[in-house]
Amino acid sequence: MNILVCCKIVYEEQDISVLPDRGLSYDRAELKLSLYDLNAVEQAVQLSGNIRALSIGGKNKDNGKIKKNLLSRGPQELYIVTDEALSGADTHQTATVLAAAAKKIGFDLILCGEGSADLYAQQTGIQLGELLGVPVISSVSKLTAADGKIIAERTADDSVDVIEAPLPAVVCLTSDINEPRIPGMKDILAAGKKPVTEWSLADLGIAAPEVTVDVISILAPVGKDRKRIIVEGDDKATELFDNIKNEVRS
Amino acid sequence: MKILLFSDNNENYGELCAAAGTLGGEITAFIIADKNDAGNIPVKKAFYVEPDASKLFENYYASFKELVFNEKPDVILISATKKGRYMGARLAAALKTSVLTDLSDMEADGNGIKGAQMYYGGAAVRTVKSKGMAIATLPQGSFAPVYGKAEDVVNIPYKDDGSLLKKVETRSKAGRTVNLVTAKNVVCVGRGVTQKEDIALAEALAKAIGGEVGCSRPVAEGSGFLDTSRYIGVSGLTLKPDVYFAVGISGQIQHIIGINSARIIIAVNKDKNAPIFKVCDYGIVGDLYKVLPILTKMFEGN
Repeated sequence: MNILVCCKIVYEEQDISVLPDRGLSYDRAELKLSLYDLNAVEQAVQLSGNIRALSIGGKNKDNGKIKKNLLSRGPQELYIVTDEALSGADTHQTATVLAAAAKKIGFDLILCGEGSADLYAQQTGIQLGELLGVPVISSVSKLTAADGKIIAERTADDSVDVIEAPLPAVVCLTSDINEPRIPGMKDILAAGKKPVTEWSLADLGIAAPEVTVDVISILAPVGKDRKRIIVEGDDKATELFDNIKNEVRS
Repeated sequence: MKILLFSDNNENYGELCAAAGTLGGEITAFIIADKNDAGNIPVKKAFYVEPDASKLFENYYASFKELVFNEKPDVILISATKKGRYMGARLAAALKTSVLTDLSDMEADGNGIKGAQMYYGGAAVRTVKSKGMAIATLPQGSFAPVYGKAEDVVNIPYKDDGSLLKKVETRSKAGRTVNLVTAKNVVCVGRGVTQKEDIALAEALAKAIGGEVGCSRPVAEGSGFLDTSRYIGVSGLTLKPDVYFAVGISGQIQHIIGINSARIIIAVNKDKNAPIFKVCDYGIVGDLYKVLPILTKMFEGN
């Protein structure tokens, strides 16, 4: 079974700083794999097969350390599509490029994380399935594959549906589906020798997809003024109670 | 402006109608329901497809898509549930556009809409504007629902979606799920809680103040102590409780933004340098294992 895992490279959110004009600075922010995609990589490894990873983004996403990190987690090879036009790509643009790359690479099953660490829109994987014209299931918390079909448990709101679909298919996984393994030294060393294919949009034979969302601004929110009445020590619990008893209404 | 509403949860239409009302225009809805229920939403026209228990939610996509292509609304508003996001995403792909997800402060902008989204879990707010046909998912709890009758109900036939997804079975979810968005008071536990049994301390306090228990991501995820519907922060869940207890929560920026709308924030943390103390109204530097039982007892007697 050919499994393709889609991974997003994002900024480490802890390193993002706020500028005096409330804009964000990524100058000191390292890049990393979006947390939720690690579950998709792990699931691919658990299903086992011919596992390839795919990532797209702006030129800055072509980062050796991350490529190695990704490959150390199990995929046998990595495809990365970078183009300046993909910097800050919206979900339509991302899904369009992923679809073009997936068609070129070939796949039976595509796995995606439920959402990304930046927008957590939970859209791209579903859009990808629709663009490829294959069955797509999201919010999947359990997944098995055999005999050309998958059985997925889709959890939504208060019920779980067990769904069967033929391959090829796209599945978006929730982060509670598994516990991603921590790569060992051997995995890390082996990762350096795994093939990485780098493509541009021209290599995929497509033009940059049209921008579908106008981003007007990205600004740090203004916090509320809080009272900050703090007491110190376990023995001050009654004092805290006196402070808050009239504020708390059940 | 032509507006089309959709939710997989029929109780959400009142809120969607209220949201659409702020934009102004002709409001219609797509609903998976029988004729009676379809008539109970205050829109000009309710297009309904009869529910069929043997079908999956996903199977209704083709009917929805066909309606959208026929009716050509300017704006489609969908409630931001898991299923709503799914429907929106597939439709967006078919229309070669993107969904404006989890939009707040929505307003009309020409024949489209604009609004705000959380970015990096709330480190920033991204203001966005639609291009072409606008599709947005709206979080619950932003608008007071409106009630009324549909002026007209129109049956649309179920359309085979050809997606090949088949229902094997449906189970109810293990563990009690909760809607924290509508909870009056919330007691949220963080990494400071180390054992599953300790959740009971938070539950007791929540009960005493008439609230629900939530948790930060590490608690729900790593440990499986609590159901994922109780996550606060990162997931984009924004709460507006009257009182919010942060128990053993350090107060990372993402978490703080998720609770920014709480009227009162009360923090319990043993680390006096925890950032949560900078953004709370009341707080105690202390051991939650000692402090929580005392507070619970006092609220019970209050």
